[in-house]
Amino acid sequence: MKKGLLASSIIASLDFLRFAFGSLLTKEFLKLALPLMLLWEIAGRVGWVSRNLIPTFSDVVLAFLNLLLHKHLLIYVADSLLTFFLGIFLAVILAVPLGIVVGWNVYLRKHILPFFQLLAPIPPLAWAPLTIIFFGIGLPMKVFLIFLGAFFPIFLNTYQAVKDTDPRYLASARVFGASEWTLLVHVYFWQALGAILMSVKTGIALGLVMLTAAEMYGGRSGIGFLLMQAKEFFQIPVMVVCMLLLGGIGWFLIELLKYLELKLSVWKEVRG
Amino acid sequence: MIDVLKLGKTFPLQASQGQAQSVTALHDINLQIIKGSIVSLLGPTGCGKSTLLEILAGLQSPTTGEVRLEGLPFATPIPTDKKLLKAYQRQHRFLSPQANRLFHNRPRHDIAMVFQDYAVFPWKNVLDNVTFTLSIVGVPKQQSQEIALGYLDKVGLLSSKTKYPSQLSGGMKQRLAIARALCVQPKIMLLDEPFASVDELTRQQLQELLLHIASATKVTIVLVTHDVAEAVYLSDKIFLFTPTPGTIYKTIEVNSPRPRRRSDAELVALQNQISTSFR
Repeated sequence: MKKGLLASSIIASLDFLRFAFGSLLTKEFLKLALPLMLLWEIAGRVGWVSRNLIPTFSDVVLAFLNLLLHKHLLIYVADSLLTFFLGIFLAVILAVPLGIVVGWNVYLRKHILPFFQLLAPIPPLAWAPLTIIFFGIGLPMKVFLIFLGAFFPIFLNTYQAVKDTDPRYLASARVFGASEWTLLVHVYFWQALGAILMSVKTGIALGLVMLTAAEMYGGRSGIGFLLMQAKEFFQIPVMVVCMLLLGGIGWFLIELLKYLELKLSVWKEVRG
Repeated sequence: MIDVLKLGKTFPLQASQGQAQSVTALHDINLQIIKGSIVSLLGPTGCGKSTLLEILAGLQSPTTGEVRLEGLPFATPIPTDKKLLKAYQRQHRFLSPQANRLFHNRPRHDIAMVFQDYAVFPWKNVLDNVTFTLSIVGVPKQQSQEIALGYLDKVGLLSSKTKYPSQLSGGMKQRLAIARALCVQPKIMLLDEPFASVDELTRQQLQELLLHIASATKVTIVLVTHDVAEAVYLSDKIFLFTPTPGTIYKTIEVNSPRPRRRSDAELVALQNQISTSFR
């Protein structure tokens, strides 16, 4: 039984990797990307552009290897990832149930929703000064800022999707005497699932912005901090490495969600 | 036996200049449906026949009048008195008009409904659609599988039990909806234009299926339709509706014996008579 689980999870991860890299490693894309990378390398070496300002591809790779081997890059990455996951996790477990409840019931919606509608338009970055005063500089402040960035898109989209649930589905369960709880678990949630996953993707994108900002302005760790430090020392290759890492994290997580979406919505497949 | 007494339903309308307006969907409906019979509510679109069916299903409350099931009040109007209305609204703050419960299912063995656009859950496969309904009614998990398979067999869907509704044709979806309604062993089956969105040949098959079910289970069938031929072929009694406000203007008994033939002269004559009366 345990072996079966292990085997199936390996198969699933291989399947995911094929899915995720499928759009990157195509002949069509590589035909364009490889010459461009070559051009990037040559332009720096020949002297068409200043190598001090625009590092060549090999400079970036060397900087990456140097960071990885001598500067504990993995610790920075792990730190950022942990912070990020905490923030997103908090946002999802609070925003999804709240969104479902607010979408489900008019009475609760009228009481609760205006409060969030007032808070939602505040750019999440504007919360930073207040958050730093409240939480100081450290993990709680960063987690809270990421949470803020991800919470509102997830909450508002979930609420909207639940509110727009097709009344025929509700009626066809109510006719048999389904309780509101049964409706929430078996009808509302499933109807909204697609929109929820979509909104988590938006939440991840916004959360990354908040992660970077939080680490740049009020952190002593993480990729954002490394980026800021590199700026102080004018280490442009390191800055590029940090940028690419942040982008890579976002890309990976969004691919992961897309994969999850695909697996969870088998029922949406249309025949033919 | 279903008794509908002086039933009326008005919907409030948001008027442009703050004036209160309303649309009368049903006005002074009186009808009686005998146990075990097949009854059609026939009329053009927008004459309130679907609203009547939803009131019979307990999905809406009437504005006036009441519905009695075996002599017991089943649907009563929303109170008009201010104080009572407030109490009613408080009671239904978190519940649907049918007053289900928050956490516990309240099974209703008497009524099942089949909807026009199937309304089977697209995120559950064929078998799960039926077992979910059985779970609402409180059938234990071990038995529900077996019961569900039995009903899927009855409607001829046994071979596609693991398919999702998006993989089924319109006729198959409607078969699934019928199986879902049948599995709770209802006394009354309400069908809201059930065969309106399937092709002619499938429709005839489904009609035969319905007649077979009716004779086998003695279930009372209330059918809303705008298809005159269908109403005449299937029903014992037809109520003709006229729109705005929805009222019954004629009741027709169809006495020709079963099994009937679609081309039967008597039925065709009746069909023509109904069609001309709508002009």
